[in-house]
Amino acid sequence: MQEYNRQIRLNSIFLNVLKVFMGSVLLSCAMQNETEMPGNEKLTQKARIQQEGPLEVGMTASFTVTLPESKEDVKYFWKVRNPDRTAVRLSTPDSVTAVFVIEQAGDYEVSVTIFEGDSSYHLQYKEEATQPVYVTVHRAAHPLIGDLTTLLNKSEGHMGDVQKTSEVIKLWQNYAGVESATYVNALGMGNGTLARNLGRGRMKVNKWQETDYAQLNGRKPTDDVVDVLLQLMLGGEDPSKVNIKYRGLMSDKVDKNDASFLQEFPYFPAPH
Amino acid sequence: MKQPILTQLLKNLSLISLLFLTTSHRLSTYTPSISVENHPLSKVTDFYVFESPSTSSNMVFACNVGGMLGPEETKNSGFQEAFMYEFNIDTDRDGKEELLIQVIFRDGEAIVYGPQQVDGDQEILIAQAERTAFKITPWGEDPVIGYNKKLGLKAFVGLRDNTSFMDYYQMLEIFQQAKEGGQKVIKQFREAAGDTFAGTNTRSIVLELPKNSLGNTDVNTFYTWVEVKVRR
Repeated sequence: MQEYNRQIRLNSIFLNVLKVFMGSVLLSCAMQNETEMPGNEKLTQKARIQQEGPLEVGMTASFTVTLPESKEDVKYFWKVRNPDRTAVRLSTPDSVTAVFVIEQAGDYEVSVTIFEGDSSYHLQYKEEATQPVYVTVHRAAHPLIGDLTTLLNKSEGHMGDVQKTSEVIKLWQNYAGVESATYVNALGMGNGTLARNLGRGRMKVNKWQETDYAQLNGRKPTDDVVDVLLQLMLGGEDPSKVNIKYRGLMSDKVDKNDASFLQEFPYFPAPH
Repeated sequence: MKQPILTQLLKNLSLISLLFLTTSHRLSTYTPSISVENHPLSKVTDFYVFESPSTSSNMVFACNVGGMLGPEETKNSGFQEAFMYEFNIDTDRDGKEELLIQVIFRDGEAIVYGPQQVDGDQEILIAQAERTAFKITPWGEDPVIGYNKKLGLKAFVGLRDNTSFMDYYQMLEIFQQAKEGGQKVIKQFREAAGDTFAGTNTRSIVLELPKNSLGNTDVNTFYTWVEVKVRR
């Protein structure tokens, strides 16, 4: 019985040692970037796979075989697997360099078979691609609204704020002597509707109608957005007949850009 | 029953590690990779959406970034890899984007992803989307245009004239007075008003794509906005 217990204890110790050993082996494998086929010590003296910079989703990866000395009659055949194990389609799998776009986060497996005359050998490489994460720092849609709401209380108002936009409209109307409570503009909008249109941080576009900021339908480069906004806020139903104290506030008297827009893409004039 | 000291210690260490990991994750969640406060690339100064003047079946989306560059300053300015610009398109009026176009920059190239159908805001690159890569036009060179024939997309990224035209400072001055509610000193805009942005340049992103790629055939109206995003 004692002998049996001793045997059990020895087996248990052996199993624990085995577990630790296997764990170490797995850990060291996981930590290695370069996993190569058996006998690769000799192979790495013959050739290496090189890749510059970290791999990142969206970026172009470029893996190149480097040989210790230049040789003629060398051929290559690359295979790349995505982290989900699907094959990456390579445009030139038989080139010295494999180029492809990283589309997934996780481990990419890259392998190349190198043919030198009658012999061939195989290299493998594994590297993790990371997924960059982005955070929003600014949002824009209508011109000037963000600047004015920011000026209103020194805090950023660009994320879309109907309440602040409403305050901006009323401040302009009060300054110009316009009655806010009953105000309706040329688009038939009262102050509430105008504030919702301008302040929600999005621009409305009917793609089949003419682009015209005066109709709050998109914005083209030649639209005089300052005059449009002033007239929507102060001009009433017919800006030409408006009877307010300060008519001179309805236009900033700058009605076109200093450089002409182009008729062809990219439409915006060259820099000064 | 009393736990062995080692087990207790390990448990405590695990709890501390977990707390540290949770806290560091929370911190990293809200920390951009660079300081964006007052960073010129972190603000879109103008956003345009209009029917293409050269192809009426196309729409153009454009944004200007970072405002007023003097001609000398322009020569050394450009885009940075930490930033991403997103054109968001809401086709069902629910306030969330259903179509998304992302623009990023790497090694002197601009890369456009999309338009791609999405379900609301995205924190990551839509890497599964159609990709259009092209050279960012350097200062003083003719525009380099990126094409994606499959999408019918044209794209440009580079320096352009600042196309805002207005008496910007006078406008802000009047609004400041309106806000303060005191005596109305300025009763009109200046007669010989100057365009505040005349002679200045900006960084531009311009995209042109077919109208029929902006929502289904029954979508006539969409809502759109542009966002600046920074890598955490």
